[in-house]
Amino acid sequence: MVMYTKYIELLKRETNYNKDIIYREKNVRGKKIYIIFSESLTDGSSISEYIIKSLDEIKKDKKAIINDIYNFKVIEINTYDEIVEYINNGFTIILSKNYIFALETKNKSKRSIDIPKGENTIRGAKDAFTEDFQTNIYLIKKRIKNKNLWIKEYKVGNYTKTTVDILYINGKVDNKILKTINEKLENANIDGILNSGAIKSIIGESNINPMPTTITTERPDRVSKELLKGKIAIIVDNDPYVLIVPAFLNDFFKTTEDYSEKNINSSLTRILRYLSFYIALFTPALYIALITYNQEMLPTEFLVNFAMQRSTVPFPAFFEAFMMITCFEILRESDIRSSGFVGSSLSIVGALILGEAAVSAGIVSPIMIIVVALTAISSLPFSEYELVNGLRWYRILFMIGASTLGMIGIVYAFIYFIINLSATNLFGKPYLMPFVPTNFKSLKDSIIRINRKE
Amino acid sequence: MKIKLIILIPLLLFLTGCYNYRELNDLGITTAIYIKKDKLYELTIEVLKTEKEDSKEGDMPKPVIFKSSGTTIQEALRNTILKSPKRLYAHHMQVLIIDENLAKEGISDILDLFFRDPESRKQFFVVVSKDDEILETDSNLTDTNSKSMYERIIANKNFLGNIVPVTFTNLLSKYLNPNIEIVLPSINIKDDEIVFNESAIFKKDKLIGYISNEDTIYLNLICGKIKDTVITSKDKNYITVEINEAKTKYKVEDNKIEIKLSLIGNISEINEQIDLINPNSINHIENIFEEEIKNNINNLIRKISDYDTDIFGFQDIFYKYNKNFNGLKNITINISVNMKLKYKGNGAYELYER
Repeated sequence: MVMYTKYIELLKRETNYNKDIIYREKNVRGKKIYIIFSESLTDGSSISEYIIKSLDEIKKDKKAIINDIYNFKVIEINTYDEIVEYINNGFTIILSKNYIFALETKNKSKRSIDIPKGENTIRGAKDAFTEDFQTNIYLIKKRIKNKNLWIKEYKVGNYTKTTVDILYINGKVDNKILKTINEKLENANIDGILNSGAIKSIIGESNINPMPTTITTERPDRVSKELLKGKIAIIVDNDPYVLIVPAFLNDFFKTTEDYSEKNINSSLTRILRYLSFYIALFTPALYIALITYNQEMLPTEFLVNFAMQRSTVPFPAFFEAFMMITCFEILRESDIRSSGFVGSSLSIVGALILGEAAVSAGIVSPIMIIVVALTAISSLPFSEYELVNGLRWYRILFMIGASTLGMIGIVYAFIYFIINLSATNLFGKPYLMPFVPTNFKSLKDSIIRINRKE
Repeated sequence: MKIKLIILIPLLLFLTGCYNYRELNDLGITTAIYIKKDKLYELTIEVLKTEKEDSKEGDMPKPVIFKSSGTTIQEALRNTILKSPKRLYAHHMQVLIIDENLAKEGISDILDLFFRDPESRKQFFVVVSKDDEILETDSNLTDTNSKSMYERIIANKNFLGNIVPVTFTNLLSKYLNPNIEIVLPSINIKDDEIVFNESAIFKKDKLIGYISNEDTIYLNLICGKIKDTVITSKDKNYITVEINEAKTKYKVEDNKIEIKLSLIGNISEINEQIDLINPNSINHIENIFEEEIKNNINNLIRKISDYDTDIFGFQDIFYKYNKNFNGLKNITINISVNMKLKYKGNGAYELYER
């Protein structure tokens, strides 16, 4: 016996008589039933086509509904809370004296599968995740057709009730990590999750190390690759970016494209990426140290050249470097945030004002422009945006070290950098994983890739 | 507390006063120092000019020459502040030139200064000069005289071997080693250009004489320092061979040393008609050279024995083999030379038949 009129009253009151929720009365074989659904979340034609039409043709009650209704997904529910939940998920509720059914009538309006925007490859799959988590799961399942690809669903967010799915391959995954993530997602007490980034704080990403500890990707092939290595993918509804945990520093230097090339070629590419990582970290700091403290480390011709270039610059070298790096960061940020219309004018301003004009005005030396340009291009080969952002902190740290103590300062800062990275701990695993502690099996797929079959 | 620390630590970083901080614009990049003593120490210092001129990009401007004097070298160096706004910066020094007369008096003062000075790299070359105005001469091929000398010493070391290249570190280790004496290259001005024409030999820290460049080749041969050189025989007609590989082996007994030279080279120039296809004629040339090198070395040793200064470092070799050494004059020196001429080039014979 269902107190259905009472439920309807309660629902109306709780939603403040929201016009979006439709309550339709209908008589089926003399009995009164209610059809309740949220107009915006549901697909009107499928309600009228599959539910209302089939209700008219129904001969008997209850069991017949499950049997005769055209809809593909029919769930019998019992409580009021479930009614609310299903309505908010785009289901249509059939409410009568004897039963409550939830029928899936989701509005399928969603973005079609697009090409990846942030992670380009020359050769590789061209599909990217979308905002719809079911499409995302489809994209992964399409690649891993195995019964051991397990999916666990959570509803996170006290208000948003966002669907968060974790995917892993049973048997390959580290159960300890799985248990921790499971615990943390179940106990998450947060008002709402609107993007996958919020999950990072729930699963406990530390702030002491600015380097990212989760891979954020929009490529299903990358997720599948990492799943096969025993990692866990976290899909958050309404976010086209999927998280992969745990991510070690070395993982950010890999792309899926590496595995489609000969390993001798991809090894060189990886060496290049590591090199550019260190160039992006050290170049401004080295410039400051060499110009202000350790001039003896430069060849004489170089030194004279530098001195001549700097002879018109009134600022100390570290001020010059800080100024230019700040300008570059501002330029980068505005380039990301601004719309495409101002993009071209931005590049003109960047190239002319910060480059040519600043030099001829005697504010900076030409060599400083080269240093900034080198730093800028060296932070580009990484698809992980957060890696570049984390790298900025250390770059500033190195620059401060260089401007106070020269080369020794860089060494101190580097010691701090190494300590900080090694102290970072991901679910009990060290961040510098294949290198420290050395794991020879994983080293084969680190800076260089030896094993081709993997 | 935590917040206080967070504010204080970055402040501390900026309050360190930046030990050793020097802005590039304030440096007087010193590339050469000439030291002379005439009651006071008189210094001529070559400083690179780093002010931008409207000349072509990448052109090195001509250096500035300062003169300064003082009762000690350090005082003279500091007195340059009277003449130049920039502080001297000696890390990029390339040549130290010591005046002949000062070298005759002794160079230990100079060694002492540069040895203890932390503000200079010890890899500059040291030469002795017979003329005063070394740094003022116009250098033809390079921007500065110091660079010209530096590059010539390097080239000489690699391709000629007729001077003894001595960096300050070498000089110091030779000075501190009682078993070996100092040899320095000597320069003077000839036709407005600096030339390396002799080698100055020292006893302890005092200059006592010179040997010619040709003798220096043999000195380097004995010491095993030759990388590549050219030797010309004066027997009848001139034959020049290029030596690519020179190995020196010592066999030491009490008061007796045997020096084995094995040289590998090729014939580069012949001014006489010799049938090079015939192996005997090659053997003949080899024999001529072996004999001549042997004689020249013996002459050199005899000459040096008169000075009684062990520039070869024989005492060091004896010391290493744990054998007695009673002065250069009292030891027997046997020299054997083995020369192999490997390449003779194509068809040298036919060229003469035409």
